Amino acid sequence: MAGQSDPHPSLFSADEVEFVAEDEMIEIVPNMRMEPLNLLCGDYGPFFPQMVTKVPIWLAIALKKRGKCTIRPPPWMSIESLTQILESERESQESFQVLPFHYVEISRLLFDHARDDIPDVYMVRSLIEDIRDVRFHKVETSLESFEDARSSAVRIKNLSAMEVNIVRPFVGRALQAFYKHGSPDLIPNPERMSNSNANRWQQAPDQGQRVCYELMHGVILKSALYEKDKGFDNDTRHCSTQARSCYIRMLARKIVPVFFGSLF
Amino acid sequence: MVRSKLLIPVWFPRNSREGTVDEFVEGGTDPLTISLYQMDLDRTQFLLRSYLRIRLQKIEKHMFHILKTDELFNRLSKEEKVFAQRSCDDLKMHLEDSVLSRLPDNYQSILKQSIISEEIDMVPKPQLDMFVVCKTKYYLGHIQLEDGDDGNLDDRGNQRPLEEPFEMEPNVLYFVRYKPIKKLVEEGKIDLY
Repeated sequence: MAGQSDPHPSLFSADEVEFVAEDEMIEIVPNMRMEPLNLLCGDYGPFFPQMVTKVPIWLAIALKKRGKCTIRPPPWMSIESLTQILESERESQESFQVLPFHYVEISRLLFDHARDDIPDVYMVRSLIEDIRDVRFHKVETSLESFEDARSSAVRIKNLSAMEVNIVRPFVGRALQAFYKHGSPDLIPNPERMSNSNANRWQQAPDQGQRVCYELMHGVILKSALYEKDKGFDNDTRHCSTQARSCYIRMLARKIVPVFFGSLF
Repeated sequence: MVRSKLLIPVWFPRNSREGTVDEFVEGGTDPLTISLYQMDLDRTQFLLRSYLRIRLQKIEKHMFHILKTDELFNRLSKEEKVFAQRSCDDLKMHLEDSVLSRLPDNYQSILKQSIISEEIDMVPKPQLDMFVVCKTKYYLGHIQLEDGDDGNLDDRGNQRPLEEPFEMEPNVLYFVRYKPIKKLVEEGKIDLY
């Protein structure tokens, strides 16, 4: 409609997802005294030197930048636990390992602002990048199996915020297309056709055209969507080409039988 | 859409907090503390502004629909109601000036396709068949994924074969069609992501 500012308002940018992650709690060790802070998002402190306390990540980073504390990396950000996660991630092709919902964002924030507080930072960083790549690859390949789930609900266990955000526009629309094309409206129903004169326009040849039109429409929409996404972030680009070809393949498999079914 | 009453308690502490930041500056509080309070305030305002902006986008998208549906219109705040009303009037005036007034008499309505349409049939409705990402805090058994009670009896022929009722485990993400879970979302049993 006219005046509409953004065609996909439900899609968050990578920065917005990061903003949300900054509210996650993390442990810090202050090196100064400070009175308790009564913030809008909660009460934190009082702060004493060498006494571990929990604060939101944005607060931890603000204090860290001013040299007022060291940040304690969360337990999952150690070489041992990450190596283990990476191994099990590689072993199982279907399921995802349990990681914090915001693991991508949290690790990136800590690498950017608190490198010196993370033991073996290079190793940890490359492990997390490996895990991320393995998982994103798995997300892409598992998209194909959505085809079998021609239902209204798909379960996605242990997917993280960033991963969900990347696949959301694509998967949402793909499922919607499946749902629409699986609708009884588009599958010839002899009983209804003979009964209803009013619905005569729905007869077979037109129906074929309609499906065909929707197929093209869907593909064009998707391409446009992904062109747009490319501008966002490296993370988003990751999904683009492969996911698109996957979508077209899936859609074709789904549509072609319906199309021919209505012609013959 | 979230009820607008929620906004009021967010706006008021905002104003009183802003007072406290100024007081700190005058009272000579340590600059670090002041900057932290300021950051907290900025974050909250950023969130609030994004929230209001998203609501305005939704209003822009479906203004005619919202204006004629009391249930939706009553969820808007006073300012949003004015905004919705004004943008509707403006768009209507614009379309009438530029197009509708030049069409034959029968086709001049902005809400109906032609004068013989009995009901309003030219207002786009929000697409409720969208798939959304959601998760629940409690175990929810037996969610019926079909559209259920609100479907007309006449549409029976149209209905899909019934799907298995669906269960939701706590803290697992699902892609679900919005329509069947709309009620649960409104009751606060399911959170969208």
